[in-house]
Amino acid sequence: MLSANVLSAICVGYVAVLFVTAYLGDRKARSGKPGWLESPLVYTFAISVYCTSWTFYGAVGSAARNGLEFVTIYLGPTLVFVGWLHLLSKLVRIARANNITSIADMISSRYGKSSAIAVVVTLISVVAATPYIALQLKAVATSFQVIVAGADPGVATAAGGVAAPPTFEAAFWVAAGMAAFTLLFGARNTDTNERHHGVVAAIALEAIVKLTALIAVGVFVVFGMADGPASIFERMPPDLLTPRDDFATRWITLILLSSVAIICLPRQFHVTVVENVDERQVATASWLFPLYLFLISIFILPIAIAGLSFLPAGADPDLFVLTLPMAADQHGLALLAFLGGFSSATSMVIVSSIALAIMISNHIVMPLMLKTPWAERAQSGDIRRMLLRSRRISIVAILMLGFLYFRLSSGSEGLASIGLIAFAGVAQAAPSMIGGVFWRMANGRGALAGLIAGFTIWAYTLFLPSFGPDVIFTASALADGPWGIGILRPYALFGLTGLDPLTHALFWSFTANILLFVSISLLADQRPLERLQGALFVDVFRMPGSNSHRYIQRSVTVTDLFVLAQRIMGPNEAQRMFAGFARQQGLDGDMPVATDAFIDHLERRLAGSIGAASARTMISQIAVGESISLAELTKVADEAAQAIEYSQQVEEKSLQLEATARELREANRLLKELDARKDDFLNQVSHELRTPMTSIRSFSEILLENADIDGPRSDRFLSIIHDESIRLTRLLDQILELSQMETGRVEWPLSAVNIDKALGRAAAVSEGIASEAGVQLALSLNAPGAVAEAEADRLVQVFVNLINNAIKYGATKGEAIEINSSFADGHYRMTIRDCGPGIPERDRERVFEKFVRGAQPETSGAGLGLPISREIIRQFSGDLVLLDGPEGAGAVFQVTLPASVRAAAAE
Amino acid sequence: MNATDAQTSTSDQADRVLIQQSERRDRSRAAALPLIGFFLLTPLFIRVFAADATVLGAPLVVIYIFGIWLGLIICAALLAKRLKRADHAFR
Repeated sequence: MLSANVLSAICVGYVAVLFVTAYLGDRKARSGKPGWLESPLVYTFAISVYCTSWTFYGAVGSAARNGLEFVTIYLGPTLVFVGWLHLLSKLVRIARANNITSIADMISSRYGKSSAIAVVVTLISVVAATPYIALQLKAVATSFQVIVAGADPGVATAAGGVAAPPTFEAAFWVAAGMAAFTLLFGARNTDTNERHHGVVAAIALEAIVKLTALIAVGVFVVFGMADGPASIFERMPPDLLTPRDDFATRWITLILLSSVAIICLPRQFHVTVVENVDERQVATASWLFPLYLFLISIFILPIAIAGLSFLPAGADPDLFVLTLPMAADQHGLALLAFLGGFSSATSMVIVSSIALAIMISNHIVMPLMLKTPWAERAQSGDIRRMLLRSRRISIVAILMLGFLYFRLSSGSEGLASIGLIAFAGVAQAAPSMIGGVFWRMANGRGALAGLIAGFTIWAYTLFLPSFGPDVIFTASALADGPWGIGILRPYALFGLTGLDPLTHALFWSFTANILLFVSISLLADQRPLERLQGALFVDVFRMPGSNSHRYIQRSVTVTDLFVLAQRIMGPNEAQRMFAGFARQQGLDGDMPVATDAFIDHLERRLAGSIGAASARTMISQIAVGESISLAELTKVADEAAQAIEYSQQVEEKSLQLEATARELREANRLLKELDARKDDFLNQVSHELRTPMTSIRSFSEILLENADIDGPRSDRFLSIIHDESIRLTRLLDQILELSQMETGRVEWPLSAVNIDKALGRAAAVSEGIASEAGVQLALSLNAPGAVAEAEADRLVQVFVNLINNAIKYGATKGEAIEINSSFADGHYRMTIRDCGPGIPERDRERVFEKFVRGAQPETSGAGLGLPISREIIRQFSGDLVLLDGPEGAGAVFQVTLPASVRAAAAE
Repeated sequence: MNATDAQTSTSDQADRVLIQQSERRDRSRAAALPLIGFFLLTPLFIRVFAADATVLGAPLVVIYIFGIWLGLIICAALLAKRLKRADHAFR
């Protein structure tokens, strides 16, 4: 196997590659053309710092022990990222608007830039993250040892050999190397606006290495050691995927916990929110990051199964990723796996230490220094130097702390479960953060109480006992509670048993945290600044461009501001900024006027370097007469609400308008159609009236001009005039009648009429014309008792009209016109079939129109018979239709009337 | 001339309303995605699929979980694409 020296050289070489990548990335960013550095892909790879060595080695171990439970750690973040539009994008927007530097800064800014909250969140983060860093160091040390020894130390112990002493050296040098890297690239500047491009580039590279390594091992295991997926799953221990007793609670707990951790872990907040350069990156990461998690998880279970089936019984599942290739003598692959684990450990260490160092220097060191007289005497650039120095010291201190922790706890099992314990610790920040960005009333005192209570309970029920018996808690205190007080048992607080320690601790800590947070928020009043910040955070999407300077009034001399800015930003940067703002104000000199807008701008700029709380403290030290106008705030909130309401109203209106326009168009179309029909009608009416009028006029003219016309001739002319007048009157009567019926102005007294009898009467009336025309009426009445609500004379009129029409247009000598009646389903039906050529297809629609006559050379009717008949029948709630039939077989009209059958037939 | 102007401005407004509506729908979709995902990944579903069956050699429950996972990724990708396009159109 490889010697320790060769392996060390490889590690150094790899770290050198990281340095070069970071250097190139930094240089590229500084050149002003960041290019691919700001691509969503690099951003996503940076977020994958979530996958630490705990994932790389530990997920396989978890899969070997608990089956599918490991996926919950990746499903939670997946759910948060696919729902990015509501939480992540809001956090990013707020952070960018306020130059937020860390999760502690975020929460403290929300609650009125409270220093106390910033300190508490920082402490929680450091306490939770230090063991986590130790875990990474341990992973590197152990994997180093495994590669060098060429065997699993666990197996060696199980076989009776002596485990090699842990190589603290390797861990130490890793810690030192990471410290150097982080100092060089992570603590270069103090302004978050200049992001750590170099670090991000290096982290992205490491993300590719760890993904490649894990997939390579997975592919080798599935296709090299076994014969494909099926053969791997055949080797699976039968009960590996069988849900355990506490499966359901743990499953839910872990999904929720990991979805909270993906935002609240300081390193995740740092890469996702603080390092974000473009909000659109989040949209891509919303699916790309879950895809990364998916890919990294897909071979975990096969590797675990292979480890259980190919390696000897005592092998440590946490090292399967390394020991499997080694057992198959694939040393190159084992080395790649080692580098993958190394990458995942180092990237976590680098980003965590940067995020924690920013928090420590901004929220603990800076406020302390501000309390000393030094801060007042500080010269130009002093504070910036002090800040950088404190950041560097913090980085070294954090890594040293991690290393010490690893060294001290290496004997115990304390580290193995630290991943989830750390998650649970940082998750305490979730209620106040998520509540803070969605709930205006969320109160700083509530947040502080919740944070402290949650943190304390987490430490008591999960963190401190995790060191094992007799480290913090004595064995008896763990088993029976401190001083024998049973209800204080750390793993069964208040007698709550039956849960695994993680769920138990989360239940109690979250209960206390959320309960205090919510109830105090509901009861206590907010400070003015808190209300202002709450409104600005919650409504960040609705109040774009509205800056807090509208609500905060204070006065400072511009000289004081300049001195302050110099101390924090350095003289050059301060001068550039002041001159820039002066130009914006339209001034000639280098000094702007200290308006509220400028003070606010400067405070934000300083907040990007030293955190919101410290920036506010420093400005407040030199400002006088500060007042926060809540009236203005309410006004803006109202304006925003009004704007929303207005836009909704506009939207509604325009929808209404659209609907109205559609209705109008439809009405217009109808009117046009009616207008055309009216014109048609008038044309026809005048034509119909013209014919009789013309003959009346010409005959009367003849009579007038020729006085000597003989008696019989003048009599004939007079009788023509008389007949035509009658025809004219009849025509006018018909038109009048039709129009009355059409407009619904006629009301006949309706009574029960026996329809068959009416039909019989009509047939009798028409008998004369029929015999004149030489046709027979074949009457077959089959509904003797059918009675309809109608008016008898009108009904007879319709039947007569139909029969006369049939005779007029469809008579063939010697044939019969068939008239049938029937009754079924509450309807009386009368059909009349003539023996003529029938009505051509194209005319069938038109026969019911006014003044339309059948094709008959000499016509006597006005063409109003059918329309009038139909109107009459419709008045009786029935209908008159022309039935479809083959052409040339005679026209068939049908009258339908709603009717009933009565035993005693009415008249 | 004036009439045409009025017409275009109404159609612009209608477009904006449509864009707003589709944005609102996309926002609802984005909110629904994690909820649906969480629901389908609750222990009861996992228990149902933890049956002793295999698909293509892999246990059914493994296929189920990873399938849901992939489905969420695809939906999120489609949604992100839509939103980005809408974003461009708006500017």
